[in-house]
Amino acid sequence: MESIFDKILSKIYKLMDILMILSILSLVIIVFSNIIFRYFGKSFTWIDETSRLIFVWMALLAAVNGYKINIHPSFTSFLNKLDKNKRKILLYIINFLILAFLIYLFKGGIDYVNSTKHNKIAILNISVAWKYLAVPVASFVMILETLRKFIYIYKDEFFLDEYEMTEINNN
Amino acid sequence: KREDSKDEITLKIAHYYAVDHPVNRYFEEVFKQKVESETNGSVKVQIYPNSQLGDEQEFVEGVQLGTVEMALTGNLWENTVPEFRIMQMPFMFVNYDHANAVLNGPIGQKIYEYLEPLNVKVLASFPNGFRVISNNRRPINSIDDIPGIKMRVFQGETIIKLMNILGFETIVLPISELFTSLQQGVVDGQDNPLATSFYNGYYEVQKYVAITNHMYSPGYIVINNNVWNKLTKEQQKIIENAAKETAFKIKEAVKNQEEQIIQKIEEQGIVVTYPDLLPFIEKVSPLIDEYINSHPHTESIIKEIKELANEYLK
Amino acid sequence: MSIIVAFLVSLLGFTFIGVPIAFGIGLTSLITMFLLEMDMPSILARRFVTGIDIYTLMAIPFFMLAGEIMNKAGIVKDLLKFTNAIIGRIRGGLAYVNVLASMFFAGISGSAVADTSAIGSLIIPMMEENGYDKKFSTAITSSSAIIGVIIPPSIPMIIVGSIAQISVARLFLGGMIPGILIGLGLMLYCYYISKKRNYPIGEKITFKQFLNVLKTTIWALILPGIILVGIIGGFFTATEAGVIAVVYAIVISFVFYGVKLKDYPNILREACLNTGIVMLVCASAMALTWFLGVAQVPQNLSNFLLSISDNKLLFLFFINVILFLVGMVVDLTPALFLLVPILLPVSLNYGIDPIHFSIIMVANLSVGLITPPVGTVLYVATSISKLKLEQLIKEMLPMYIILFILLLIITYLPIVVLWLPSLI
Ligand code: NA
Ligand code: NA
Repeated sequence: MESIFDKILSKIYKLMDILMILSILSLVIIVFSNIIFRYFGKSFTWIDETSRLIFVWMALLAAVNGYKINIHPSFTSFLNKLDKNKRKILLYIINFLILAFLIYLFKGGIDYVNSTKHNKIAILNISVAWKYLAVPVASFVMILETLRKFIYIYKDEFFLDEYEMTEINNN
Repeated sequence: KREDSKDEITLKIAHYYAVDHPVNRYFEEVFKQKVESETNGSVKVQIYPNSQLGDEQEFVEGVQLGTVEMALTGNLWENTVPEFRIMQMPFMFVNYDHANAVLNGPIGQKIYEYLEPLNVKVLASFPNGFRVISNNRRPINSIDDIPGIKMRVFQGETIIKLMNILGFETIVLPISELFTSLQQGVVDGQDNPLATSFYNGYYEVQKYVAITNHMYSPGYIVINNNVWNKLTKEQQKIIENAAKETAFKIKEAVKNQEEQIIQKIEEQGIVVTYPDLLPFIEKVSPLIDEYINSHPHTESIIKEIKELANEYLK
Repeated sequence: MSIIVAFLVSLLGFTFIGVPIAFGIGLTSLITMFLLEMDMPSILARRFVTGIDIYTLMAIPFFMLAGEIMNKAGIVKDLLKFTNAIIGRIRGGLAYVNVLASMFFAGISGSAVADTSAIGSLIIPMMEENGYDKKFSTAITSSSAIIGVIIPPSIPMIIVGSIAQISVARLFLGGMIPGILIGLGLMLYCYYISKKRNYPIGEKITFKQFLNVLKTTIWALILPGIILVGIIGGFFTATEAGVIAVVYAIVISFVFYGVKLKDYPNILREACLNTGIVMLVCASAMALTWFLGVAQVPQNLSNFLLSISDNKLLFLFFINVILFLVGMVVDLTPALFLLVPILLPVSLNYGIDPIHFSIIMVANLSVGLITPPVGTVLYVATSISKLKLEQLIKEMLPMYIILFILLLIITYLPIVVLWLPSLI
């Protein structure tokens, strides 16, 4: 059964997936054309700021997408040695800790955006908030995902290695 | 508990100078000593050099929020407060004493008021130096020697326009890539205060230095307004005086070391030239006009600075 | 002092119970913040951006992407054929092929885990088929995979370069010779073990067959050359080298390997996700280092070490041992983020070249990728071969010893690291 909550989340992920892929694509194009143009003696002053702005969003969107499929590396030997009930309790605790952290991060992000939004990025002449906003947005979606993980744990549908370790590539 | 902590306050000062950089030493030896002893330890000073608490953009924001109480910043304020661009105008100050008189006097106060809405107060200003140009192409004896030289610029509107109008090709590069880029010829030249270039080793990979003094590089000693207002009148006075004294000592040191540095790099085999600056000044004057046009209320301030210059021209 | 204890206890505690490393680091910074009696969650958020908002770090998605494209194209198969053609004919041929292929793939990819999964998934079954011990095959795959982060390009070196403001180009060059040495050291061990266990001799191939293999593989082999020449010659920065690698990979994977446009969404997604994993650690580690900085942990540690001894060699040995131990429980990327800001200034006080010290750190901590209990490369390798971690340890022990000896060489013969960077 798919709840409304699931439906909304999957819409959000679909959007984030597209944005993320477009971001890395545009980074390749921007940085590569900068090399070409420089070869012909031209250089654009907005490249550095624009590419970094895109990169911040790309990285955080990717981190959120990765959080959904549990690919952020963790040490699972201890967790997997526990019997089913104890494991379940520990999973609740872990996700509660993550939730607490994310709530702090979200609140901090909102505060920060609010109190620095009149600061400008030098060349682009737009507010720094466009960059910092990525943090509250990312932590908000991860908060929703963590809530959903509680449901998974409750229903015994939470798998740590739902995706093979071979897919994980963190160095 | 809050009551207890009221009579003891710690000022964290964030900055980007290295631990053994003269600016850091003066703050440890003059500012910290003076403030802590004169307030009988009721105000503690803790200095965080070397961007330990983040880069300039971060503590420029941090001092607005009060996450750091104080900071030593450069020209980054100009992105948010366009009035701060006055100090970055080409050839605005004729020498260090002129800059000091403006920035630590009544004219400076007028400009600093524009920072108040950001919740930040400027206590004093000191120089990093006047920026001079170095390159590997050819000695710059006059403005005609410039075309064809690829110049590294930092990410700042004024500097990019300035270099372009002087005839350089410009490439924006982060400072971390500068040394290797000079060495490998990604860029031909760079501009920084003499001391910065010397101590960062840029002159090891450069052949020519032209004393252009085209732009003044200010450092600002700033404090968060809420923190400031929590201090007693007496503490405020002690801190402000200590800041002014530290800034003055740094200015004297910067001024005095320039001759020694020029001598040292000439011994290394670098050709130092002194081009006639009048054509430079004429060439960049549209930049100042353009600035005044878009910020008309600054015209009187700029006029005052120029009038004060006469007192400092020998 | 209480901050250091709290920092260690909570970081290890969170890791042990199974909190993902990135969140464990974030939670640790939260705890440090409370201990400092600060209430500034906004700093957390700002430092998250700081950890990502660095131009040099953009090289990470680029090299991830280049590696992903080359891998999807099936270049690893060609690399194995090629190395087999060179060295397969001697006793224990496939063991050498394993190491040599890792060295070549290291010139394309910047990640040890990518190296393990790309090469391991092909060669471990292949070695098993040919009568090699599965435990040995898995062990040599893991050990040689760490060359992936020593020979340029290298994602850990990009990270060190951006936190320490050192030229990534010079770091890349600094890793070249140490990476080759590690490869040779491991091959020497292969020689010994193949003799002892009488591992099989591979097929001989004719010169004509060799040329045929070379014809397809040459295009993949050129890429590391382009990257190196571009960086040494000053044509582009490390970040730009990354994007050049991507464009080159797109072209040859299209022309010679028939990778189609419709394969790209998945390739791009994989590269993004892998970048996201690294960047989340970067982000939360940056938050932690801010609070550790406020607590003056780096200065205190530096003063403490200097008060024990100002002998450079003793300090370096201490570093070797400490990093080896740290590497056992903390993964390479977070360890770099936490330790570079603390240890690099200390090493400057001892008069050690920052490029040399950075390479020591990366090499030392990369061994941590193959030491239990936390060793990502080991996890990946064992999941390929369906072995348990414990079963591997006996096979790994001699390799640890070899790697440690090589680490000492890298540490005490600075010229090994510094000669190539001195050329630019
Ligand atoms: Na590599
Ligand atoms: Na291998």
